[in-house]
Amino acid sequence: MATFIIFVSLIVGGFTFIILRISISCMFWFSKKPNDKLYVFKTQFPYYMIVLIGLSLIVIIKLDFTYSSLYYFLSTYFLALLIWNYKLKHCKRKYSTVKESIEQSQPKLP
Amino acid sequence: MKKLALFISALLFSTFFYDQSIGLNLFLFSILTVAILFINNQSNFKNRKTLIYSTVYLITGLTIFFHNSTLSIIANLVAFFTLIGHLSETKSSIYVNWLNGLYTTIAGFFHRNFANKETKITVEAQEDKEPIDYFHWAKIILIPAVILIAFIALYKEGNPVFSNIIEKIDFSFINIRWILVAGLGYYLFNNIYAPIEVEPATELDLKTENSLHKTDTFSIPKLKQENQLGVILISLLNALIVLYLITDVAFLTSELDLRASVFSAQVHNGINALIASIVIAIMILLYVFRGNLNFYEQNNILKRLAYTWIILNILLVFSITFKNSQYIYYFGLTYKRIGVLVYLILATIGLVTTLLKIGAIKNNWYLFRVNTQAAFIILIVSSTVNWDYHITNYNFNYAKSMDFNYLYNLSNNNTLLLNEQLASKTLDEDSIQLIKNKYNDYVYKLRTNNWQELQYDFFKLSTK
Repeated sequence: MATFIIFVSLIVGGFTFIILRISISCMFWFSKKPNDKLYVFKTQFPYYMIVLIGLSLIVIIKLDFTYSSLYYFLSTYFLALLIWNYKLKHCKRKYSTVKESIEQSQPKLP
Repeated sequence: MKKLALFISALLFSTFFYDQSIGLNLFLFSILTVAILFINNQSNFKNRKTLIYSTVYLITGLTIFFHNSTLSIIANLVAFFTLIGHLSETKSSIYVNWLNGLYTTIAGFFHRNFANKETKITVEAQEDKEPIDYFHWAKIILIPAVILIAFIALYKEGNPVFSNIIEKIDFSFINIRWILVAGLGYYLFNNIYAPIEVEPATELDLKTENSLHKTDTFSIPKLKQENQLGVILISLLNALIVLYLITDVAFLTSELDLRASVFSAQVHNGINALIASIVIAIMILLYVFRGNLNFYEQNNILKRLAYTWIILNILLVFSITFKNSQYIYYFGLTYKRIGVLVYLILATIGLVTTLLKIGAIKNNWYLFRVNTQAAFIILIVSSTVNWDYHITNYNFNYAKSMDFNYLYNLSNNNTLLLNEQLASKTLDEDSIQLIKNKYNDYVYKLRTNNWQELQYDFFKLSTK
């Protein structure tokens, strides 16, 4: 039974992590200035967290405040914060915008 | 000092809410929140608006103690976000306060940490701090702990006296969930003690004025055409609404003793349609007076027609209020019927503010700001009323007929009143039994509640 619980937790946790990681990356990809961390943090992070909490609360209310739902969404919330923290502090990758890639491929015409 | 206050608040938070239902605890939490905010934002508390929002927040907390209803809990939550958002930026609009309040509650601590660090890096105002070596700390804590546990296990086997001492150590008094709730409380207070703002939204709000200005696209021939269209449209709508009101008055005066089914259909279908018509009316006026037409010199007729249309729409609101009141008189109060009255108050405010917008040449943001403020006031005022008690009281004593099942299924706020009615009203046996069961359950709940869940009804019961 314990093995089954650990197995299910790993699958659910892994799936949640992937969803959060992709959605947070999308915040960077679709930002006007994807390489400006402070800009992304100020313009995208507040709305991302508000929407995440809003959706979590809807599901928690629908599930009648069961302990499992509370624990799951609390973990999701802190996991999202950790991923944002990682992306904002450690991620060195430079994103290129469509505009930049077009400009780079064009020769400088007279 | 600040850390100590947060730590004590976290312990109190867990004491108030761990394994408790809502009652006195939410009021105590409101007091605690205001105290924490006051300690950390003393200069803001000299502002009159801050004091008003704090008082409103405390009042909504107190209403939960007096009558624990969903509406009063929602009002308390909204007042909480409003107060925190207001402290983050005292000059912003109320809807931005809600956004800032919500954001502060969710991620205040994280925002402050990241934003401050980034500012420090860019300004280079501080000397480089040595980074915390978490791996080293983990080693210091975990490795000795594991080795210590292993040695305790070994020594236990070698000496029975030592084994007895170890076995007598009992950690069962530690409640992990209680500690977890305290941790959450600490995190919550850490988030809110220094409110933050959603910068883009707050900046945009502070930049946006209430007044309209003439734009570069000001063109007399175009505006003349727009003015003509507006005059024709609003004249026809005025004529239509006058005709409607005349027929409505004729209908109301001729058929006062309507059958229940007819009246119900009339009110339900009619009110929904009229509600939609008022919203559309406001939208049409906002569209017509959206820009340069406000500055067109020959727009006097259009403005007068718009004022007339607004006043006629207000008359329409009175007509709906009359129908709804008749319905309430014959068939009793319900939440839906009260909801219609609340909507009518909001619609009247919307119409009056539209009139002011056109008269004083204001923009749509002005309308949005004033109306959200009005909605907030109505929410707070309505949360202070014990609706279940008043619905029951009215339906038992004043309405021409009543639906007992509806009253029985309301929350416990009407239970004591229902029990009182047993002495004065004649009810069938089933209803009497249902009321007695509800009363006994409620009395048992009140008497077994912890001090955190205390409600005003408990004292009412004790004085009997």
